[in-house]
Amino acid sequence: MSDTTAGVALVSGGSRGLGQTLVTRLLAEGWQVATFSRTAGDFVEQTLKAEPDRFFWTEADLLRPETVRAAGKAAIDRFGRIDLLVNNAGVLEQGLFVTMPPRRAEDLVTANLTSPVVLAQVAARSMVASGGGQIINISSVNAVRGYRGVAAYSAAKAGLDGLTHSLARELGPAGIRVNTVVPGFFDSDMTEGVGPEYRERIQRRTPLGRLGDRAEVADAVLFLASPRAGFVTGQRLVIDGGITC
Amino acid sequence: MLSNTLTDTRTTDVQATVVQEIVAILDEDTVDELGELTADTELSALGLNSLAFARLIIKLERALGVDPFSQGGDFVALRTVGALAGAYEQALSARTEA
Ligand SMILES: NC(=O)c1ccc[n+]([C@@H]2O[C@H](COP(=O)([O-])OP(=O)(O)OC[C@H]3O[C@@H](n4cnc5c(N)ncnc54)[C@H](OP(=O)(O)O)[C@@H]3O)[C@@H](O)[C@H]2O)c1
Repeated sequence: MSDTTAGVALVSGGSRGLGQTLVTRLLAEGWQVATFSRTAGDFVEQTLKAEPDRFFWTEADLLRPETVRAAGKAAIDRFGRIDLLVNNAGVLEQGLFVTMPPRRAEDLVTANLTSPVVLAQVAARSMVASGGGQIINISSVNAVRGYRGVAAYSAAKAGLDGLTHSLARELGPAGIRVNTVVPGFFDSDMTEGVGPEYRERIQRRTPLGRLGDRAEVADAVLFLASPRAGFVTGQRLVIDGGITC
Repeated sequence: MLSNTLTDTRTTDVQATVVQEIVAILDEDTVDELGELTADTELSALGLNSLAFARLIIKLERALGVDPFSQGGDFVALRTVGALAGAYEQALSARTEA
């Protein structure tokens, strides 16, 4: 890491939702932050103006892993290395598995598993060369418990857990920590379309009796990224108000 | 640092870079023990584990702009420092021709 900043973070999907919160918080903590999404949006435009030296955005689509690889490389070109990767961007589409168009099921796996794997490889190569770093994969409670209508998404998210465990073993000796954050249901554009009935059901089943907040998930990510979690690797940190307990 | 007779300047450069990057990832004791690295130095004598070897390949890609093993080429088959440098020379000339 350079002397002037906390390090270089690459957060996928930093234009909205949890990614936006992470970009804001990481910048506030002194990181240089690179991100990508399909569209820039207001937050990205404003942050590019406010932090021209420490913030970088490029366009990439999780459905096209080669664009994701290019975005990772562009971040390295811009800031010289990656010290922290947060595989945050994800795509959720609900629907009965048996009637889902086969192409759609494949797309969900490409977006939620193949692209994060590709990005992890780009980042890990940079971290191996620079002598350390960390990867945090954002999974979902859907990968822990079964839920109807999200089979392909859950399969991909559970795949991310496998990535975390194996990479933690393989890259630990290179000083790279790899962990998963497992959020429960929190409000964002992703969950906007979820009806009030379903929302209430989730709240009822959650021991803490409410939905989560993006800031609470971001807290867990920032903890894992901090030296306070210096001896934590290969683990899953579940932030779900207890719904999976 | 290579003691073989080298004629082509680019060859010299590539081999020198390979040697330089190897020395950079070895600890001082190993460098002292091995003495001068030559094209004939056995890669196995470097005592690199697989992760350290991966680190070398990544750093060489940065230094030379090519990765001869990105398409799954077999570096396990390479026995010497000279052979490793040769793989980079080949990859560089393949890129120039392309
Ligand atoms: N919200 C929840 O309740 C919940 C629960 C469990 C887990 N999660 C996980 O938490 C993470 C963040 O979720 P969120 O709710 O913050 O999501 P979100 O509000 O939908 O934001 C997703 C971000 O990813 C980008 N993105 C979406 N599709 C993309 C694509 N095809 N290619 C490139 N970028 C794309 C979006 O930008 P563009 O649209 O401009 O591309 C945006 O920046 C995801 O991995 C999600 O699976 C969320």
